[in-house]
Amino acid sequence: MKIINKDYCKGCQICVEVCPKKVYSEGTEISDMGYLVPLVTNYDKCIDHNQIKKGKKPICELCILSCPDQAIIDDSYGD
Amino acid sequence: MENFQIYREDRWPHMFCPGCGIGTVMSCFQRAFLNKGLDLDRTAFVSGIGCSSRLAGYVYADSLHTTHGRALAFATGLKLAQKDLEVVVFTGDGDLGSIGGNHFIQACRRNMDLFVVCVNNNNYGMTGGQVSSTTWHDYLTTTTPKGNPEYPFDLSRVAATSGANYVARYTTAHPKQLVRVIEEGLGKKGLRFIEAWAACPTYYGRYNKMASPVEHTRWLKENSIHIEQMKVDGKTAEDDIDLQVTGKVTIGVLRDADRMSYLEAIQR
Ligand SMILES: Cc1ncc(C[n+]2csc(CCOP(=O)(O)OP(=O)(O)O)c2C)c(N)n1
Ligand code: SF4
Ligand code: SF4
Repeated sequence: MKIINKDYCKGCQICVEVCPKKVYSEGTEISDMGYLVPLVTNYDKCIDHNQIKKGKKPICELCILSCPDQAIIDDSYGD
Repeated sequence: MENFQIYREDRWPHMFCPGCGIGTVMSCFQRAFLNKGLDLDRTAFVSGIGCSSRLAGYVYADSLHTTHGRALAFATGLKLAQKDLEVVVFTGDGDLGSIGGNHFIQACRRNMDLFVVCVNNNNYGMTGGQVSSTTWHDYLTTTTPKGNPEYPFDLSRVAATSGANYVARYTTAHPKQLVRVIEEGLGKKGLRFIEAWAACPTYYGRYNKMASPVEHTRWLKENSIHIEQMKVDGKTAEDDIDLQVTGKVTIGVLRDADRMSYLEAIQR
């Protein structure tokens, strides 16, 4: 699953913009830091989720690389 | 993959504004560094002054936070004293292209063995969004309220024509390409220059009708053109200069040479 760390996310919405599969949506809740944190609403569609399910390496990672705050991880990757 | 393998999580969240492109450059650099399998204990980070230059303070490695514009001079000294260290310089367009312009040209001319990442956000972010030597013509900043009367420096072209071995430019709207060129550059000798155009929504964006990080990221994407596309379109270097002035920046690997580096030359 893609997880957004609410203590790091600054609500820039870049992940929502760059994801080709529309995995993220704008979000509804304001974090303790005062930012609108996106929600992971469409994880089934995630390219890398499907790669990992097939035992393959992630190939997209656009959200993780674009996030300016190192706020996104995918806990299904392992290391 | 863990997000904090080369950065200091104890200093998180970092000081950069929401949507600031410096953070994206950090992610890309980390990924390339890890892909390359480099050792933090064998790497030193040097930076000058500016938001982008704060980057050196977030790495889990020895770093030097020097004076404005002088990062390359300090880095040159460090490299000559500790020849087996990979010396990485993080700098901004103001730090490198404005106040540090001459150090920049000379380091490239010497083909000094340094890896330089310039976060180009087209203005002086740290001090409040003043005009920079890379601000586009007619664009607004806090010190050019009627539009910038000057024309911008093309930092990558300056590096390439001054003699840097490897020169590549992408924007934060091209994270995967950034990872690729950083990785490629890290494996080479001589001066390697990576110019990363980055969003500064707080200042450059706000004054130029792209105040949100998403709008600024779209602007970067729409206003860049790949060098291979330029060739297909039959454009010359002269057109390239014009393109930057009228609204598009060339991205891609702009130079990949194999000239003898400074260290090689003195160790012959
Ligand atoms: C000698 C000197 N002159 C001016 C300053 C003020 N100053 C601090 S940062 C900066 C501009 C930094 O711009 P840039 O390198 O583009 O970095 P950014 O903050 O945009 O990332 C200036 C002019 C200074 N610190 N030292
Ligand atoms: S890895 Fe790619 S497809 Fe999956 S959530 Fe991130 S951007 Fe979307
Ligand atoms: S890109 Fe990162 S900081 Fe921006 S909204 Fe998404 S998770 Fe938050």
